[in-house]
Amino acid sequence: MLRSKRYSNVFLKEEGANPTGSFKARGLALAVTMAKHFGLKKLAVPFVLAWPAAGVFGAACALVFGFFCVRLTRIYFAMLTLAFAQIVWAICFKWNELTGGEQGMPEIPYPDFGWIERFGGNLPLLGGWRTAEYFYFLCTILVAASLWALHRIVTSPFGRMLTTIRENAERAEFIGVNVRRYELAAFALAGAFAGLAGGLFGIFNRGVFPDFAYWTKSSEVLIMTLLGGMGTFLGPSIGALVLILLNQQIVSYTEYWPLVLGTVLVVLLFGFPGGIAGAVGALSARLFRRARSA
Amino acid sequence: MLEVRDLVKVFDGFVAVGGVSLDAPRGSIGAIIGPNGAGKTTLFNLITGHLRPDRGHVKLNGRDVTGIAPHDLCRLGVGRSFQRTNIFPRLTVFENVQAAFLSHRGRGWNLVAPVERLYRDETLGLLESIGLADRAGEIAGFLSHGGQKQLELGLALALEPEILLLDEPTAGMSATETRDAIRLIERIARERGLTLLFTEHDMEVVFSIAERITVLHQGRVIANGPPNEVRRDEAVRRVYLGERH
Repeated sequence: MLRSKRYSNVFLKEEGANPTGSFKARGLALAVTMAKHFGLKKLAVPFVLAWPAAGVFGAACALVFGFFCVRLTRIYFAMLTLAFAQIVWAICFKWNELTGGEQGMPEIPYPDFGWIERFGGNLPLLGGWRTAEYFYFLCTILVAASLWALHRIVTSPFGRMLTTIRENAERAEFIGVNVRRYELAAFALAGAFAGLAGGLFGIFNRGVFPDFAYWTKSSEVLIMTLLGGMGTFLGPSIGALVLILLNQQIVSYTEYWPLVLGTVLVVLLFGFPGGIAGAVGALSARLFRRARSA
Repeated sequence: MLEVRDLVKVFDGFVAVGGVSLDAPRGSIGAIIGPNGAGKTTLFNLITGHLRPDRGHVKLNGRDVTGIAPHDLCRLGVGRSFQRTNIFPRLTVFENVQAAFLSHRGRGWNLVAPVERLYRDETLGLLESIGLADRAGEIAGFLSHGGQKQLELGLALALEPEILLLDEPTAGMSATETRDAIRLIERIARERGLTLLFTEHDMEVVFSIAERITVLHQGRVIANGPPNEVRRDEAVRRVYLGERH
């Protein structure tokens, strides 16, 4: 059950590729997916259509918001994405007919796994599981596929162009990179994967609520990224895993989880700016060097 | 090839460039000199679209390119280097030049191909010609200052430019490095038949390779012509002697 929450890393990751550090992009895209989900239940669209639709819708919204956001830089960029996220949250909160308002949308159904029972029920490994277990495996597969797709993108020429923008946007312009257009594309991609993540989360959580669109949810994802290691491929996934494990462990001892989280963050920012992945990388480099010189 | 007419740029009432005109005919090697603050870099930034001029125009092969975005100008055959070294410091030397190839040849929107193999030969060939072949795997930011300048030249050359604009290509170099760099630039310009326009403060460098020299002072052209003429020019002597004493 725990690991199935990992889908949330997917959208985290794109951030690493996202040159300007558009931390809020996924926040709003996540919110958007929620909206998508509300629609989903009413129309009772099957999962195979609804899930990709969540990605497409996430990308489309990110395109619209991104159109404005990439025109700004740094703190202004961050503030504008936050503003958009708040707008989306307000919509989720107030538009009762579509989003259920304050109450959100409880009882999001699981995808239909009946066909597996019908066709694979007699096979040794398939069949006889609970719906939640089927969904867990479905998530694992989809998350793995998403990670694969993202890895492909990061190591593609497009990914390289994004890296040049992160490294030196001025110079990137002067090797012929249309910086804004690439940033917008990265934004939309981040939105797409955030949408896909949100699509899974809504089902996993058996409901979607305006809270998910609130900025604290976005900051959670940001914390996962910091914890795992910004600018590394698997860092955010590791961060998500560790954060969720930590949360579960600590909440059973004490009610001061935010206090612990804050302390962890401070230690992290000052002691290990590269996060877990960065620290492990540095450690292994040191051990390797020692082994070689010995 | 490049035609600059009456460019003006004013920053908060300060006239950085006050009506500069110059020409760079195809295949020529031209230098822009002048004391610090004469407006050389501003002029460059106006030509390459970093800044929008308040007046005047820039034409490239007869086409008006005034204030055009740098990424578009690149496609029209303009390569440039910067005074303060401007590379992608955390990528390797190879990746730097390869990125320029990818971008220039329009492969940047490919989301699926593995990047490592693309333009491998072109990149290595170019690194060879600028003398960085044995450094291909090094992180660019760890190269010596001279090495980084060389790499920047490589970034510009990957765009297969017709005209190369170099802003102080030897800034911060030692005497030996300067000599090597100039030799390299001159060789490449001649080999590829490039038009070269550069700014420089080292007079020796300028007089050794430039065919035409434009002297800027306080944002205006005070002399323009072949080295011998400029060397004898009264106004130029005054500006330079005035600066040194």
